[in-house]
Formats: sequence, structure tokens, C-alpha cells
Amino acid sequence: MIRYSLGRLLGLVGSVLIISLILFIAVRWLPGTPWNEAEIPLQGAAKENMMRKYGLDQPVHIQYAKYLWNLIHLDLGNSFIFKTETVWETIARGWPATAKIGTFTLLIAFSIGIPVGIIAALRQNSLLDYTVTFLATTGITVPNFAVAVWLVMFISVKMDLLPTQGWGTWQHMVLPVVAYCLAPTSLIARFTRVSMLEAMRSDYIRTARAKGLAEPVVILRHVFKNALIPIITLVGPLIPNLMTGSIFIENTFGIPGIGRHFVTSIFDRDYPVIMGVFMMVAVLFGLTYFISDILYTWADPRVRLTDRQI
Amino acid sequence: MRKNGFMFLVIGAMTALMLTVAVGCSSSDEGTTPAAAPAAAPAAAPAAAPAPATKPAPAAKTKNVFGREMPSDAAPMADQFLKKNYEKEGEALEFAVSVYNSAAGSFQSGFSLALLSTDLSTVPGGAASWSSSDDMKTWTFNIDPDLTWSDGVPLTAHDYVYTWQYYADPEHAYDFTWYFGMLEVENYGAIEAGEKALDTLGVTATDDKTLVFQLDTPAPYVPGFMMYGSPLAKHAAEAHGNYYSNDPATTVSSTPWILKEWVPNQHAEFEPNLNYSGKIIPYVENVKSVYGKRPFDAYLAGEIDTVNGPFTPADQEYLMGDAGLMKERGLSPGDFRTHYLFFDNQSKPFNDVRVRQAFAKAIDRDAIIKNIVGEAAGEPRYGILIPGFPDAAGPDKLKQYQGLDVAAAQALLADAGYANGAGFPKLELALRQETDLFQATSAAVAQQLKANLGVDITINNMDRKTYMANLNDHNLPFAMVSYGFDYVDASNFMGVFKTDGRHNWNNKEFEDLRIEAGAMALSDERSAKMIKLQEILSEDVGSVFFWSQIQNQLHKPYLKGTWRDTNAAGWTGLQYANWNPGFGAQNIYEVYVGDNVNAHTRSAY
Repeated sequence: MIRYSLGRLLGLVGSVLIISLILFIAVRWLPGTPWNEAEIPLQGAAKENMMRKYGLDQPVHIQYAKYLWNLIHLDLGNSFIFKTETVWETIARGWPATAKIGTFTLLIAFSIGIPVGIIAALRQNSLLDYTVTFLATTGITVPNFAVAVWLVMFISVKMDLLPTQGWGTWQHMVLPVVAYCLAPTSLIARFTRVSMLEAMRSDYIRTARAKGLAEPVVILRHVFKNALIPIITLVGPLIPNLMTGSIFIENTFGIPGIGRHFVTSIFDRDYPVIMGVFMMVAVLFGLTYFISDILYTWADPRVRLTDRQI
Repeated sequence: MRKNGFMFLVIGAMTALMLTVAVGCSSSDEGTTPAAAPAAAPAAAPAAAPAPATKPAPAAKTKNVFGREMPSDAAPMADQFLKKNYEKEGEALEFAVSVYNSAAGSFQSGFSLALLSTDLSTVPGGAASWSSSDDMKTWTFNIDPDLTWSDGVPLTAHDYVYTWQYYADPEHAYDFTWYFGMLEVENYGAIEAGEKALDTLGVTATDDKTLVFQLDTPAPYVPGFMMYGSPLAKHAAEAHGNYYSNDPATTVSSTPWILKEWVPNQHAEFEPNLNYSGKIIPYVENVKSVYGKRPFDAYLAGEIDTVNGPFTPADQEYLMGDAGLMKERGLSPGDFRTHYLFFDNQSKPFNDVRVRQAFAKAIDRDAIIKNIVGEAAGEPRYGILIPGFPDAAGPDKLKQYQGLDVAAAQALLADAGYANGAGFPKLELALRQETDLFQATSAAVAQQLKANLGVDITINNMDRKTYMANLNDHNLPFAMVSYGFDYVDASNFMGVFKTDGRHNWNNKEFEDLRIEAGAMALSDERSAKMIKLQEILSEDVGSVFFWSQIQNQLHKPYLKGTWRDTNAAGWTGLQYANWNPGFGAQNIYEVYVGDNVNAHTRSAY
């Protein structure tokens, strides 16, 4: 287990380095400059000064070597847009808001999605099951920005119950969380239902019931535990997804999070922030998959972790 | 029954878990996040006595913290604040530090040398007066002797010299240097290239209150050009660095307001500068800029007092359909921005003027405005300048060159060898990361050119930076872009079409006349030449001038003041639509909150 974990973590470091190289080349391949040329293009000395200011006056391989050296020292550089801030500071400034929205979204998604999925499975083909299936399908298919705009229009503008945008009080969190949690809640409910149904039809469940085990024990220990594997597979990537925010939600509600950096940094050609946020996602995803693999062994003892090729 | 019991157990456990964590998070939130904005009066204004809750008797004259007598229909002083929105966050509050990465809506702490009135005339700001030499190469500005920084240090010509040196400093690599470079101040280019020292710049202080500009080429429009020249405080910058104004602890101000708090991507609050000593005195005491990407909704909910378009098509439609909201509408040409279609004029097929003219005459701008934009939100254009801007040629003068004439367009295209579009290369119309509205107008253009000329065009809405890189390299065969004024003179717009400038339309007659007119003193003769330039531009189709937006704005009925009056050009609304204290002379200084404020929903400061 320890050897496996160390191997996976070393592999993650290697992946991050490869991603950094691909990303570094890709962002510099994009046409355009970090500075604004919307009105009149900079020329001559003015352009050279800009190139020097942004460290783009050197060959790309030198730039990458410097980036890598700094990365090893956990220095992601300074944002091109917020020049007085390091990328770490930009992330640290935005992440609390994103994490709060993401945490509440996850809590609601699990708290509602799993019980509802279980209930729907236990009452398969009932009106309740159909209702849950219909609502879950709707929740998955309606985009969160559409829900967000609708919520703002009716809850904030028409009914004047909650603020349209901004950050700082619990009232500012309600609508973003509601808009953001619909899809993951629905997704979890759907997956839970299907996984439960599959597990309930298994021979070992029939055996457990034949042994006279109480129904809650059968459901909780045998059905639900076995149904967890596909749910773990699903929620693995869901967690870093939700914890890194959504540009639609953050833009609609004026949330000072980091979700928008994934898009705006590209539009702004803010190379250090592009590198920083996408590397962060790479690490988060790597760690999440690693943790998911560990959890598989708990959910299903037949799963064995090994670094050997079979 | 057992199943039901189990279900309740599961639901109960999950709900309890959620509530426990939620309460925990909520508590921690209260501990770390500043309390919600109090409903009480804004901070500061210590000199202003709390106003009574009821409407004051007409005889009771109230003066604000700056000593200005409030109008009789003004709300109590506690309500005298302005809340506005900003959509993009950046690195610095000061214009001199960064323009394109400006923070919190860029709320200047110093006056530009000259400000704009609602009629676009130039009026004193940081400079009380100015004059030029006969050859218009030497300009002298007399700094307002009353102005001091909030820490008591006098504002001097040296502050402006320091700021101009900072613009040119190659170490700074200013993102707005292209603008100040246009003025051709002596040695500006050489300093920028690192060939000369900062102190050789042709901006000097002959004494504390006299600022002199020495130009390489004559320029009659210098005062208007200075509207963006708000100063840095030299002493503060030297003590704390050029980002000094981002921090309330180190900022100073020579305008009526000073930074109280800036929380990036959340808000910036400005309180009265109690040491303000200038002549331009406002009514409102506090100003708050709040961050958000949907200001239209925030306005409807009463969270901000004012919002400027352009609105999304959905928001515009909502506005047009609400009679009550329409009463709150203001209209403005904004920055006199014209959207136009341009070509790669050096390559086939657009190096043939007949092709360009055919395109210009094949587009039914009126239909596009009527059916897509809406007549309240846009106007067709046949030239670069919008009526109301100085020296704009009237539409009738230019419509003869670019007005709809399908038969003439077809004949011109046939003469050029592309009858009914036969043999014409497939075209792509490139857009600069445009909104739905502009994509729709472009699609209409493509459809009309297909219907009228038989030319196939697809739309490519490019990422802004990719688009600009291609535009600057003259790599776009056919594209749409816009330009709005940077200073109030026709030469600003003519410069966009200079030889090998933004576009590769090179017309010698235009270029010679442009240079000649640009260096002339303001006169009827110069105006005639500027109009002639517009004729050449439209006739030779340097671009197909398409349409311009009428900026729709919304201002709460309780926002009052002379800024709402109809201006000389007939526009009613916020002209040169900006609440920035460094730029406009009559916007933020003349606004006050009326006593009808309680009849409307308005969130606390």
C-alpha cells in the first residue's frame, strides 16, 4: 500500500511536469499578447519594453527553464493582470469564495442526491421513482447559467428576497449554491439509484436476505456499500470540479472566486495565472483519482492496489 | 415498514450532517467575513450633521461636508451617496499606472489637466487655464493654485511632470503609452526607447504651478487630449511606490473623494477628502463601486443607482417593454463609437475599389437597425464620425458614397470581374469576440451580401486577442471592428486610417490632407479639411461604415442634477458616460440624491 501510494505520487509529479511543458508551449502558441492592443498596436520600443516587462523577450525554452526552476521552488510568478500579486496570492484571494460555494454545493448534492437515489431505487417504478427520475434528468439537462439567470430575475429582482450579486454575507451564497448544486445533485441521485438497483439484484443480496439479515443491514452494509463503487468513480472528478468553481456561476452572481480565472486568464493571455490554475487542477484531479483508488479497496475488498503490470 | 424506517434514517442522517457542517461553516464565515453593510449612514462625513428623517423645511439650507449648499429637493445627507457598478478588476486604481488593467472602475485621485463638459467642451480641471504658442508646439498649463493633496502637500506642476515621465519610462512599459506617444512630446519616443534620460522629456515645470509641454509637431487639440492625464502624487509615489493609491493607508487625493477601502472583485469605497481645496465641489459625499457582471439586474433590484449600456439584447428588450423603466432611461452616443467593416486593401479582391464600393452599397443598414438592433439602440452610419462630434460630416454628405444601392453595387462588382459573385473567393467575416447582438448584425450583413451580390460569407467570432494579433498583422481579409474617441478632435479618428496604421488602406490624398489638417489651428478651414477627409474615406471605402450604438442608460429617478439636462447636441442622459472624478466636469460633481429617494427601492450603502 505504501509502495503503491509512493509510486502514484511520484507518477503525479511526473504528470504535472509533462502537463506544465504542454501547457507552457500551448499558451505561448496562442496568438495575441498579454498587453492590450485593442485600439492601436504597440510598435518599436514600446513593444520591446512590454516584451521585457512580461519576460517574453527571451527564447521560449529559456522561459520554460526559468518557469520550471521557479516551479520547483513553488514560485508560480506574478499575474500579468494583478501585477502586484503572485499567482498564489491570486488563487488564495479567490479560493475561499469558490471553496465555500463548492463545499455547500457538495454537501447539498450528497445530502439530497444519495438519499433520493436510494429511495427511488427502493421504490422502483413507483410514482416517487418516476418523479425523482424526471427531476434528476431535468436537473442535469438544464444548464446552471440558465437556472442562475432565472433565480436572479425572480428571487432577487421580482421578489426582492436576496441580492442579485456580490459577496460577504450568507445571503450572497444562497442563489449561487442553489444554481450550482442542481446538476451534481441530480447526477448523484441518478447514479445512486442505478447502482443501488444493480446491487439489489445481485446474488449476494439474495443470500444476505436468505440468511435473515435485517433489511436496514442488507441495504446499508451490502447494497449501499457495493453501490458505492460507481458513485466513488463519479464523485472523484466532481469534487475538484466543484472546488475550482464555475465561470458562469461566478460571473452571474459577481462572486470573487477563482472559477472565472480558467477562462479570463486565457482571454487576457495571463500566462502565469493560466499555468497556475490549470496546474492546480491537474494536481487536484491526480490526488482525487488517487484517493478514489484507495476508497475502492474499502468499498470492495476484491479490489487490490498494485503497481505491477498484469 | 422496515424499509420506510431505514429511508427516514438515511435522510435524517444526511440532513443532520449537512446542517452540522453548514452551521459550522456559517459560524466561521461570520468570524472571518466583515459584517454586512450596515444600513446606517456611510462612514466619514464627520462635519455633516445627521440629517432629519423627514424632508427639511425649504428655509433650512443644508450644506454638505464640502460646504456646498444642497438643493431644496435634496434628500437628507445620509442618502447623499452614489452606488455604481464595475465589471472588471485590475491592478491599479490610478490611470497613470495602468489603463487596461484598471481597478474598481478606475476612480482617479487627481484631476486631469482639463475635463469634459456634457457638451464635450474642454473646461478647467487640474489646470485653471492654458495657452499655446502661435505654432501650437508649446503649450503652457497653469495648475490650479488651490489644489492640494489630502495630506496637505500642494499639487504642483512637478506631479504632472513626474506622471508624464512615468508614462514614457521604459521600465514602466505603460500599456497606454500609444496614446500619450501620439502627442509627439519632445523626446518621448527616445526616452521610451531608452536612448534619453527621463529628465529630457518635453514636459517641464517652470515653477510649481506652471507646466509646459514642448511638442515636435503642432497640435491644436492639446487641452482636450489632456482629459486622460490625471496626475500621480510625486511625493507619495516616491515614498510608497507607484501603487500607493491602492491602499487607504498610503493613498492621497486631490479630488473630493479618497479611497476608504478596496476589496478586489468585491467593492471599492470612497469617502470625502476632508482636506479637499478645489473649486469643483460635488453634492454627493460618498461613492461606492460594487463588482458584478450583471449590473442591469443589480439596478433593477435597487442595488446600484445607475447603469450604462450597451445592454444585452434581452435586457434591452426588457427595458423597452417596461414603461416605468423607460422613464429612467438616458441616451448618449457614448464614446462616439462607430462599428465598421474593413478589408485587406492590399490583396485581391479588396485592392479594387469597385469591390469595396459594391460591398458598401449592398448593405441595408436601415433594415438591420430596424429588425435586429432596434431604432432606440442604434443608428446607421456611412462615415466614421457620428453627428454631434466636432467636424462630423453629416450623414447626407456621405450616404451618397455608401448608401444602399443594390443595382449600383451589382454593376460595380460585375465591372470588377465578379458578376453575381461568380469567381469571388469565399470570405470569412472575422469578429472581435462580439456579443450576440453583433454576431446577429454580422450574420445579417453576410446574408445581404449573399442575396445582393452572390458572395458567400461565413462568420468567425474570434477570441479578442487572436483577433487583434491578426488585425495588427493585417491578416484579416474581411472583418468588423469599432473605434471610439480618445480625445475630442476629428484627427483622433482620422489617425485610425493613417497609412500603414491600424488598417492597410493607404490613400496618399487622405494621408497628405490628414497630416496637413492635423497641424492646423482650429478654424473653419481645418473643419472643412476634416470633412473632406471623411468624404475621401467613405468614397474610397477605407472601410464600410456600418452602425453606431445609442448608449442606453438607466438612472434612478432620485438621481438629480444638471447632468440630466439635454445637451447642445440634443442628448439627454449621462454624456461622456463616466462617473470618474478625474474626467468629466459635470457628471459626478452635479449629481445629488433627491428627496423622492424613499419612494424607490435602494439598498443600504
